[in-house]
Amino acid sequence: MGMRVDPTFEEFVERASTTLLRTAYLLTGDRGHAEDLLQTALLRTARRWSQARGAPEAYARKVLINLSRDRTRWLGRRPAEAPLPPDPDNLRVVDAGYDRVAERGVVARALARLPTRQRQVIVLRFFEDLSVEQTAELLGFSAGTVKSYTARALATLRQLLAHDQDPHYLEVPNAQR
Amino acid sequence: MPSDEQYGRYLGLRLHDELEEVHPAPDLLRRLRRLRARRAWAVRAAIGTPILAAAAAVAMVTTSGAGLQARTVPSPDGEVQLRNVSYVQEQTVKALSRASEYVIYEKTTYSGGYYETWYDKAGQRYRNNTYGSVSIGAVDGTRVVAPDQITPGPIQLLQSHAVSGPPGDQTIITVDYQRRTWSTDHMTDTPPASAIPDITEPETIRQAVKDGTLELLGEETVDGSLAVHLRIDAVQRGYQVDMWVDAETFLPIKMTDTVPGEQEPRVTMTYSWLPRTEENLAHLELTPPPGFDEM
Repeated sequence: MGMRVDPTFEEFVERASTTLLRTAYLLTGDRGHAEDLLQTALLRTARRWSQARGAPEAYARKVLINLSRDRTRWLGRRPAEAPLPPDPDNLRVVDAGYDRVAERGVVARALARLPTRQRQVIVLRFFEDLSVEQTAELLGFSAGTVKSYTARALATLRQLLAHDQDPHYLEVPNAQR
Repeated sequence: MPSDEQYGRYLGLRLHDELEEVHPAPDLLRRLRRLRARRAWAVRAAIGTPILAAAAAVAMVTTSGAGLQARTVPSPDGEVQLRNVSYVQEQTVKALSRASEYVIYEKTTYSGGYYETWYDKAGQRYRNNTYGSVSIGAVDGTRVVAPDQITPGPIQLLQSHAVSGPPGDQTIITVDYQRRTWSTDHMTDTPPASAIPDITEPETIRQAVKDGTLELLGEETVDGSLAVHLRIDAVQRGYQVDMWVDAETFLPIKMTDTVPGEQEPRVTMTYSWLPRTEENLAHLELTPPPGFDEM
């Protein structure tokens, strides 16, 4: 028959979109791409809602990871792109949050310097608070590989953040903005 | 020096702190609604679904011993019949085969608001209104607000959609009352399946039963009407649907959708079966209000 609005999806969006956006931002290091990834991940989750609704966060997170991986591969095959045009409707509200990360996001910027897989592991293990096994399943790695990437990533982050005592004022040496 | 695990947890906390003011755009949900509408927003493929033969439907019934309750009722021709789950499903499928004779009004209630939908199967069209709360402080875009600092506003009409045409060739009119805009889209892609079975469709009832088990839980009173309570339990498909059909007409009058493992239903729907009068069909019309901009 006709359209069946499923409000449980909208409740899920309201509940989970902030965390998913922050994860997307850490995975991509770019505001515009993070918002694109979030929107696409949510739409795909909506289209598969009958399968996803039992554990929608996990489903959307999986889509997000896959999309960020696809994007990384895609970026590797094309010239650097110009930033997305700003959406004037939302700029005033959302800009300040991103500005704050740009100004004070010492750890976020150090994270952005890691290789993709190491970055994914750190985000899932310590930002999303997933177990080694959950992270391994999500990324399609073995648990040993996750542990190995984690160790390497943390060693790099210790170096990058060696002089960081106060997240409000110290900068990561040679950090890329 | 902290262990790797300790250091990782410390960095995780730092990241949460650094990103605590990053929030999705306030109109994310609105944009998703619109994009989903353009991409066949949870539209059923069932317009014009062939009517099932009642006998075939009965053959699909999977009964649960615990839920199988039976009682004798007089049939229209005076014979005494056994009212069991097969009988109720047969009567319900028969009743639904006449759904195109009605304008169906469906009200979907959930924690954040409600939806109203009018269906006219004979005309292959439907229209809905979305009511919800607009968060005060998040709409005008003048300041940064975290979701837990937003004050929910009163429930109000947010969007309406009017859809007409068969699946794959549908026209959608969307009116956005917050933005004071309206648009027309043409939808050609195949509608996706919905998570919640459409209990006004015989075919969907058949499929839902095929996906799980159907139980007859007995007779109850719903809004003053005697109703038969049925339960479709499809754990593998991720839902448990309780439906109440009118004890006389066997048309659905209420449905709840519960996620397996949860106590309370996530969604409650009620149905009114209205005659196809001009007055009732007028609910299907959607005209953009004066002063709204076309997008």
